[in-house]
Amino acid sequence: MKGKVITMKRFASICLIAAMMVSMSSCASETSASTSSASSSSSASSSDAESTASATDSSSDNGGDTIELTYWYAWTDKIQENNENLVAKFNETVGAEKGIHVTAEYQGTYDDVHQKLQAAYVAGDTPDVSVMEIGSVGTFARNGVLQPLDEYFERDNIDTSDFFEGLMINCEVDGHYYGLPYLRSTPILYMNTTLLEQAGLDTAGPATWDELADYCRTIKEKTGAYGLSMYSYVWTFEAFMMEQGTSVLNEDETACNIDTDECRYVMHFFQDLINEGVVRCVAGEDSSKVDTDYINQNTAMWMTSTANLTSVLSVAEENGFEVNTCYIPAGETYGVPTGGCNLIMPSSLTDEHKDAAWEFIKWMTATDQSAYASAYTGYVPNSKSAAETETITSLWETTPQFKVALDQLELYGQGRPKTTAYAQVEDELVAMMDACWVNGADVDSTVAETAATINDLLADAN
Amino acid sequence: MLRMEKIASGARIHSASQTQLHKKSLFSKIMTAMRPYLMVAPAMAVFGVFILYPIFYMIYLSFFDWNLIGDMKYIGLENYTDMLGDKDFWQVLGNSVYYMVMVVIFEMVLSLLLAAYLNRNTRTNRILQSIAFTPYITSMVSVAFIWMWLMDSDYGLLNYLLSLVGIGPVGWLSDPKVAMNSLVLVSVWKGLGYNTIIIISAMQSVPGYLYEAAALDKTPKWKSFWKITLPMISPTLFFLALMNIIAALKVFETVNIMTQGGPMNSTNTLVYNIYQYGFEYFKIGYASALGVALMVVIGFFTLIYFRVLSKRVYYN
Repeated sequence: MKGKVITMKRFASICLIAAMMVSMSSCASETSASTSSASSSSSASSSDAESTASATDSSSDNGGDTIELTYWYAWTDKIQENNENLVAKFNETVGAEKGIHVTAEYQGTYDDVHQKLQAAYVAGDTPDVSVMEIGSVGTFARNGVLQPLDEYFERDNIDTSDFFEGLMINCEVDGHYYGLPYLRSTPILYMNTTLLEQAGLDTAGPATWDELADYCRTIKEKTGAYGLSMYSYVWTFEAFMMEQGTSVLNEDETACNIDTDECRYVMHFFQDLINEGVVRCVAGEDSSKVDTDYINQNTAMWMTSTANLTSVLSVAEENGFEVNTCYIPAGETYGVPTGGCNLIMPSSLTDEHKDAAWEFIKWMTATDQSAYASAYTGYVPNSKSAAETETITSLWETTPQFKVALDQLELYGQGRPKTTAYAQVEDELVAMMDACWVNGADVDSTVAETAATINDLLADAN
Repeated sequence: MLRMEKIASGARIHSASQTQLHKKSLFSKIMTAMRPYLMVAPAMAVFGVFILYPIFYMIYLSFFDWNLIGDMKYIGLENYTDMLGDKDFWQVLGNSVYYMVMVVIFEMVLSLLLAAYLNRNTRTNRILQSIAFTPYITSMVSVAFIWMWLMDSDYGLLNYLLSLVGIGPVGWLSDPKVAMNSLVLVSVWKGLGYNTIIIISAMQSVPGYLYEAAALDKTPKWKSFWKITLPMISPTLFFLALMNIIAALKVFETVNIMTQGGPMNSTNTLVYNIYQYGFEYFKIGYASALGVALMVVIGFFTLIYFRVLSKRVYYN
C-alpha cells in the first residue's frame, strides 16, 4: 500500500515536471521564432565576414558563400502566401545569382512587428529587412533606427516619380527616404449591390455625403438593413477630415484641427444618421462586427481597406450577393489617406548586409513583383509601370472593382501623420468617436476636450 | 562553541604535526558559517536579477524621457507631475481600485459560501469540487475569448438568454457603465474554484471536537459556522484575500483581450496603461513612473490590510 502511494507520488511529480516543461516551451516558442532566426543569421554573418574579408570585395557576385537575410512580415492568409511566394522566387532568381538567401518570418500584426523591431534594435539583433506600417516610419526614422536609402536610390537610379506620389509621402521623413512602398492601400466604400437594387438605388454608389445620407435612409426603409456599418476607425476618420478640406493635424504637426467647424460637422453628420438608426457604429475594439454585418447582409455599405477586396469578393460569392466598390463619397472634395506598409532596413546592419538588404527591397518593390502582389492580395500596385503591366490590366477586365482603389489613390491619395505622438493621438480619436457615435455623448464638448488633449500630446512630442 | 574552542586549543598543543587538523577546522568553520548563504544564493541571484534590479532600474528610468531607442533625457520629476496632473491617470487608478474591491468582495464571499456547501466529503461534492476548479487551470486567454463570445452584444448567449425573459440587449463589453463589471464577473468566475478548494481544505483541518462540543450545547449551525469555522480558518481567508488584492491590481490579460481599455477608457487599468505607454506610445519613462505608482498602490493596500485585519486573525 505504502509503496503504491510512493509510486503514485513519483508519477505525479513526473507529470508535473513534464507539464511545466511543456508550458514553458510553449511560452518560449513565440519569442524563439524571432530569436532563433536572428541567431542563425548572425552566426552566418560571422562566417561570411571571414570569407569576404579575404575576398575584400563588397559586390557579392563571387558566388561562393551566400549572405543570409532575415525578413519580417505581418498578417496571415493571402498576404502571408504572397510574402512567402515572393521570397521563394527571389531566392531562386536574383538571390541565387547574387549570393543572397532570404528567410521570411511571420511576426503578427503591424503593432507586433513594431514592438519586436524596437526590442530587437535595443538588443542589437534586428532582421535585415522588415515591413513597417507607414504611420510609424517617422518615429523609427527620427530615432535613428532606419537606414536612409538616398545613396542606394542614387546608386541604382531609382525613379521615385514612377511610384505613385501619394505612396511616397510616408517613405520620406525630414528630407530623406527611408523605405519603398510595398503592400499599400486606401480605404474604399464597399456596397452590397443586391441590397441596393432591392432598395431601387443606383449601384454606382453615392458620390457625395448628401447622397450617402439619402442612400442610408432609403436602404433602411426599403430593406430593413443598415445603410452603413462602421466602427471608430482613425483611418476613415482621416478620410472624412480630408474630404471636408482639412486634415487631422496641421501641416507641421504642432497642433490638431479637431476643434474646428469641419470636424464638428463630421461628428454631427454621422451622429445624426446613427441616431436616426440608418447607420450603425460600433466601438473601436468591436471592428469585427462590421464584418459580421456585411456577411449577414445586415448592412448595405461599409468602408474598409482595398486590401480586403479579394476576400470580400469570395465571401460575397459564398453568400450569394454582389459587391461593387466606389470612392469614399466626397464632402467638399474627395480625399483618402494611404495605408499599408513600406519595406525598410535597420541602420545597425553591416555594410555587406545593407547592400544585400537593398537588393531585396529593390526587387520586392519593382514593377513585376508589385503587380503580382497587387493581383494576389488586392493591395494597390505601387507604381505607374506596375499598373500598366499585363497582370494588372487583365485583372481589371475581369474584376473592375480593383480599378476603383487605384484611381482614387492616383487622384486623391494623401499621406498619414508622421509625428511620434500619433499612436497616442489615435487612441484619443478612437475615444472621441466611441463617445459621440457609440455612446451618444455631446459632440461640441467632446471635440473641444479631445482637441485640448491632443494639442498637449503634440506639444510634448516637439 | 565550546567544542570549537576545545579543538582549537588541542590544535595549539599538537602544533606542528597537527596543522592539518587546524586548517581543516578553520575551513569547515567558514563553510558552516557560509552554508546558509550558499544555499539561498541561487534563489537570491534569480530574485536579484529578475525582481530587485528591475525595480530599481524602473525607479531610475522614471526620471527620464526615453523611447527605448533614442537618447535618454533626464527630466527629474516631470513624469510624476505629469502623471498626477493627468485626469486619465486618476480614472485608471479609480478603475483599478474599483476592480480590485469588487473582485475581492465577490470572490471571497462566493467562495466561502461555495466551500461551506461543498465541505462535506461525499462523492458528488468531490465531482463538484473538480468542476469548480476547472476554470482555474484553463488558460486566461481562452477564458477571455470564450467570455467575449458569450458577451457579444448582437449574437452572444447572455443577451439571448436575457431576451427570452424579455430584457433588452446589454452592451456587456461596449457600454462604459457595464464593461468593468463584466471583467469582474470573468475574474470571479475564474478564481472561484481555487479559492473554494483552499477554503475547504482549511475547513477540514478544523478539529472535529469543537463542533461536537458545539453540538452538545445545541448551537445552531449558522452560529457554529460564525463562531467556530470562521475564526479557525481566518488565517487562510486573510492570506487568500491578500493574494486576490494583489492579483486584481495586476489584472492585464482580460483587459488586453476583451476591451483594450475601452470603451472610453472605462476598463483601462494600471498595468494595461503601463503596457500602452511602454509598448504602444514608446514612452518608457512615463510607463516607469506608472510602474512606481502601481508598486506604491499595491504596497499601500497590503500595508493597510495588515494593519487593519491582522489583529483579527486567529493563529493557534
